[in-house]
Amino acid sequence: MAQINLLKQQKESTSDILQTVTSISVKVLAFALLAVVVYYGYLYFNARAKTKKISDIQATIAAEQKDLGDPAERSKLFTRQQQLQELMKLVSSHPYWSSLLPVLAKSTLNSANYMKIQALTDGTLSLSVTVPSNEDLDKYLQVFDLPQFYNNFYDIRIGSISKTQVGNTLMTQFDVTMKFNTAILQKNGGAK
Amino acid sequence: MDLHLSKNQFTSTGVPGNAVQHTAFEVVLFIVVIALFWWFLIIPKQKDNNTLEADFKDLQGQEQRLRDNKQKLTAAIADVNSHKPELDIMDEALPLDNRVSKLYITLDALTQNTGMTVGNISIAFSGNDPMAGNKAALTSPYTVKRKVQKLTSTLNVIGTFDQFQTFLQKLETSGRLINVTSVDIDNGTEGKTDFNVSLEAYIYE
Repeated sequence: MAQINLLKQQKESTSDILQTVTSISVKVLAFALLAVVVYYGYLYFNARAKTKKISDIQATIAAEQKDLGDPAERSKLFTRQQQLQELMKLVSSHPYWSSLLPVLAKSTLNSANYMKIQALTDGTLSLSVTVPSNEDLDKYLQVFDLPQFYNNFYDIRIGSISKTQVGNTLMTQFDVTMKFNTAILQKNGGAK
Repeated sequence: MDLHLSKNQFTSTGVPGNAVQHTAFEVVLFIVVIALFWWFLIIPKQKDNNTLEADFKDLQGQEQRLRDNKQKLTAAIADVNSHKPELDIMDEALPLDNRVSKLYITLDALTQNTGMTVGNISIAFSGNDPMAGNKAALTSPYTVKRKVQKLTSTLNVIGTFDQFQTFLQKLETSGRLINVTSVDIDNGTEGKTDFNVSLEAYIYE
């Protein structure tokens, strides 16, 4: 009899606990649902606020883009910038021809005279030279075998050789083509 | 006694059992509702918010860059306008007009200053634009499209090597940018030498 009463009490206690747990769970979940709804509301209003801010900033950008100052002043600035860039390019490749003749004079045999000199910016040099004798012609050529000279003048080729009367003297005349180092035409003479 | 006991048992556990089942169902229902709400409403909204936030930051960056560039533009325009002497030098070196007479005057003056005798100066320009009275360029000089163009010139002068050397130096230091493209020297017999020089000058027109 006492055992039967005990069983009844035990069953009632378990049922109460289960009911309490589920009841608390329902409340917690109801609160969670409410929190989720509130969070959704927050997200919704946040998105609306952001959308408005975005449209405001887009309007500001459009206004700023329209108001970029006087177009004439902008064109002037652009033209001047381009002009300066082009000028800098031209200046950087500007040849300094006054360096060539002194360097050529230093590389030339003292007894030789130039009757014609033709020089091009690509480094081609055509010369018509007179020397007192055929031996001087050979000496003239030997100069360009020396390193201090062949750095500036090289690929020397002789064209026609002839005798010519200069004043009262019979001279040897010959045509020469050679290459010169175009660095000579750079500012401060390049490879002197 | 046994029957009474079982009746009591039914009455004491039957009704709370239904309530538990009912609340358990509510629990499940809540969980399903929350999950569905989260999945179909919260997650897409969160994604929207993230996209909007990224867009907003991007636009803020664009606005800031635009303001910075505008400031730089204003400063650059002011800088150009405050350097008139330098602009004049630039205009002399690379003029904005194609007037060949200016180059002719420059070359003539350079040869005269070195004591050489001018044999001939010729200047060629293949551009189509008028050299004076160009209304478009005169009314809005900076809106016309420009590019570097060449003026080619051949110059024949007579003098000595020293004079020619000075002439070359003057060309190199001239305010007008003039490039020598070839030099042709013909040594005369009476101390005077013929110098033929090919030149290039430039315009930004």
